[in-house]
Amino acid sequence: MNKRILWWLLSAAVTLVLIGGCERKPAGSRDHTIGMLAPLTGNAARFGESQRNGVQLALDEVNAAEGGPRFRLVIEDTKSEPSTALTAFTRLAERGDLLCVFGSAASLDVPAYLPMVDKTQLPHVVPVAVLPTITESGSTWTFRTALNDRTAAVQMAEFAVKTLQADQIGMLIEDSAFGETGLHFKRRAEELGASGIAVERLKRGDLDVRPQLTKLKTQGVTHLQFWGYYAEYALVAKQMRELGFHAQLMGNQAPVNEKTLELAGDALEGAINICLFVPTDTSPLRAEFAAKYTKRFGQSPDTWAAQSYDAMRLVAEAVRNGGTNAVLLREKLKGTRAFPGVTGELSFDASGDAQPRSISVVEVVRGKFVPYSR
Amino acid sequence: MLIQQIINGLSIGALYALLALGLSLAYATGRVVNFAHGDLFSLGAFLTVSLHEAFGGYFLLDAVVSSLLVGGVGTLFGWYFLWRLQPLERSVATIVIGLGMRDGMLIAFGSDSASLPGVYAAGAINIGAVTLPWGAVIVAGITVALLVSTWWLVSRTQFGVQMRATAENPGLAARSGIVTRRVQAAAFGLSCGLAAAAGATLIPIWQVYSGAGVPIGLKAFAAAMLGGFGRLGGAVVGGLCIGVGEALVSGYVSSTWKDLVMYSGLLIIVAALPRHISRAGVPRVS
Repeated sequence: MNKRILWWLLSAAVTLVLIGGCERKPAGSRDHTIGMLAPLTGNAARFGESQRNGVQLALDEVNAAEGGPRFRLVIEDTKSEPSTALTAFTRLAERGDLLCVFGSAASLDVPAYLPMVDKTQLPHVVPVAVLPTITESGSTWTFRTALNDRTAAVQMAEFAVKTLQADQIGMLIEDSAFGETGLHFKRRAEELGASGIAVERLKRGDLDVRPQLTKLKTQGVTHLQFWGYYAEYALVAKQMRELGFHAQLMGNQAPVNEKTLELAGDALEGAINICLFVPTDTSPLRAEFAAKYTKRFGQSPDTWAAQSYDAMRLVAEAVRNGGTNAVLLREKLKGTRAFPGVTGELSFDASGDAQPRSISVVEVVRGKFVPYSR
Repeated sequence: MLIQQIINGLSIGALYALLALGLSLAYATGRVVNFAHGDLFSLGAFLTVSLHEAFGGYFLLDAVVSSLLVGGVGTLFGWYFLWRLQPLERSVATIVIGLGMRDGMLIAFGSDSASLPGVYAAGAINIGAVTLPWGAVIVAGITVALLVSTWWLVSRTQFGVQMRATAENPGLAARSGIVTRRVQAAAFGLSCGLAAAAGATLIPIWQVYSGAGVPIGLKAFAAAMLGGFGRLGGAVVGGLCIGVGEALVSGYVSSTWKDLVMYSGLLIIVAALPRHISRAGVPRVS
């Protein structure tokens, strides 16, 4: 091709791109762009995938509705690394065209960029991350549809002591701010009269937890409460079985998904966990969501997908009610009362946490998490 | 509990021993410190899972094929690439290769953990208060078999003689008619294959993700260092000591302080040991 023509074409293309980049949305437009931070790779990848699927499913439904607002989604991968999460948030914030941001599903990602959220003044909706400090550090732009892990720990302690009559409890927690949240379980269970709870720790990616398990077994622990991520939960279940350690295994929210079952094989049979959403629930709203999700993604939704689905629908509803810019959207989200989500009715308290809702205790029966019923 | 903790420690220590052995072997013969050793361990585990999922059937076959594959590629890599570099460059190159391998595994196998539960017999042998899980017994058995075969290879075969000669004095070995580069490449491949075999052996009772090899590789380094980098017997003893040490510190001190206590203790021990035991003045194979 003639070189001159090529140059002309190239400069024309550059000009077009520049014009496109400078274009401002006309006022009153119904198109909105939403940013999302998600740990699509790294050790929270399973959460990131559920987060993306849940949001995407809701977004497509909202966009398909006649006459309503329409949304575009821009996703940045945090790689489950706090430092990457911070750069990713900065990249999103610099775009300048976002209505709001969905926060990363990896709990430890969020504190890294949280101070930027209030400076940027973007509504920050956290669908999956459960770390208490996310809502408790005073951010006035943060809302969470996930269950605050402190609430989960306290509720699990009440279940263990009152329902399971557990007395000799041991804990195995991840050595991080995420795992430390599990200590609220210890505090509550001891208040309720459980004997002194021994706490052992593990690191993410550990190869061997047999020394810790052996120690707990020797101490006569009958109920073992885990607080950490799903791969380590599977490892604990497998190595408990190896050691012939027959304590009742109990876990936090994070391991409630199919991957955990796949990693652990049948070693998880009988394990008990706490979560917001049970895939096998048969109430109409939940069953309908589960069916749609399974049809689209070929796997049943976990609690993370359900919370993300709720988060997107909640934002769409707030926009429909007039939350068409960041400031208005924050006001509308604050005013949310009893929004009918698949994870229960959502209302935000002063800190931005969804009020404690119908929390479920699930148990692994024949390779599936089902509502606890013993 | 003491005996149980020692057994726990030995079963994980045997694995560190196997990794440290490979590290020492590559260092003794080729003066290369392989910083990607832990990643080869994860690669062996991932390949075994993939082969098992793709072709099903025999776990043992999948494990052997993945170890041979990694060992073969390691040999070729050593032959065509690594021994074109200066000794220091070789070691530095493995850092870069480790980075690349982790990203490669992320792309090839996804970012999630993988495992093969249920391959080894479930259950355990109980002797008094001590539990010997079948899974751990099988892993220990395979590990010991690999250790013994490597020892046999090094001390009883022609190839072993060539490796030892190359380790002792590469210049003299070359003048005696040994193609040292070939021996070095083969020893490097053997070390890679052993790392992959360790990963393949462990995967039924563990789970692997793309970055999983890093902390394990570091422990193998500690074991190799404790045994005197380059000494094969030392590497095995070092691995077992690290495994038992970890179990005892977790069991009797605290799992929170495990790494801190272990590795500051290790530094003191290595510094205090007589030079001919602890440090690799002259790399030796036996």
